Amino acid sequence: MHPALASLGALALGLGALGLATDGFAALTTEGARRLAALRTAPEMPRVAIETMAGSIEPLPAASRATVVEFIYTTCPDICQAAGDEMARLRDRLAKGPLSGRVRLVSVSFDPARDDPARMADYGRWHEADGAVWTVARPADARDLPNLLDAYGVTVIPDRIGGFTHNTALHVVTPEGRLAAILDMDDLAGAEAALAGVLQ
Amino acid sequence: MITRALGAAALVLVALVLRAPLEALPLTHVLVQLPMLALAGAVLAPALALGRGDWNRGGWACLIVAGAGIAFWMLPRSIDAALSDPLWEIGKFVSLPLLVGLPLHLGWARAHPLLRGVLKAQVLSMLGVLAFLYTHAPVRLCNAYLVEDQHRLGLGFLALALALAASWVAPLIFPRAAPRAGLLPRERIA
Repeated sequence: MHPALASLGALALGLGALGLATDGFAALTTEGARRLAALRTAPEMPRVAIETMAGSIEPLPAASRATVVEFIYTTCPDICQAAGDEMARLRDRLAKGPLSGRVRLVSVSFDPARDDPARMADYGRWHEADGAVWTVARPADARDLPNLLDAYGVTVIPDRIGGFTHNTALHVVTPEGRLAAILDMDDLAGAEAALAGVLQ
Repeated sequence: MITRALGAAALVLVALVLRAPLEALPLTHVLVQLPMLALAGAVLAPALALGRGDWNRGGWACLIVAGAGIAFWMLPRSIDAALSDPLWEIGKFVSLPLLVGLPLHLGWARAHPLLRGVLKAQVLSMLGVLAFLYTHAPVRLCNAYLVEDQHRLGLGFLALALALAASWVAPLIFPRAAPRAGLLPRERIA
């Protein structure tokens, strides 16, 4: 075989493999890949029961409303507190617009062993979540958690100081239960636009 | 032949047995385990009657395969996938020796000195960019690793770049004391 031909073949194979591995050179990180997958395929999320900070049980994703899901743990010293503030801001934003009453906001704890309803209520109080639009909850059955985190694409790792590090984001789920968009936790305009899109 | 096969097998075996501690940190995962696996393939190369045909003239085809393999395993999401999906992990243990180390050696052996120089310069600048990226990125590039460990990997890239630069420049300054410059043990093929 002529060396130029062999090189071209190697180049085609190499670029093909890299294209496949990056969703067409669009996502180089796992975080980028899961956001792209949500936009492109809107995968169906598992339906689980969650126990809210009020002690009540409700479905996740919410029935007949769009849901914004965020994964947190209440004893988190930094990012989850910022996430709580952003969630409160998102609630206030939505209350003023046309999407009022059509969206459920849920902060789901991935640390259900420590986050009992009392602890979740504390977190809710700090960030003024009253449960009406935005609630803090944990999986009613802790065995649902691994599957839930896997489906949403959330990785939780120990941070060596007793807490966790995790990819925090706003997950926009359609009323039919499909994950349609994943946004940075402070991208409230993006979340609002995604919600408007799925509620059309 | 047998020594080379044993050496390659030993490298893969150590990378496998020490999986947990090596993969616990991105620094050792990317700069110890992955190079070990690639080295296993490179060690095997001289024992195989591969890469001597006209198709590999100048080493281009093999170097392109190796370059694509390196680029593939430089993707943060490949590293994440290897940690979370056993199939990807198996793919890592197979592809780094066979699609990175082996073709790198087969290609390098026949590459023109000018091409080698360009590749060395490319490796140094790429490591410099990676070092900057991993020490300065405000976000985590791998979901499986902590941000402070990401910084350490960035410093590791910088240290590797400096070490390679020194080892490649040393023979120019101390021509007699230093061995011939090369990325890998040289295997001349006429």
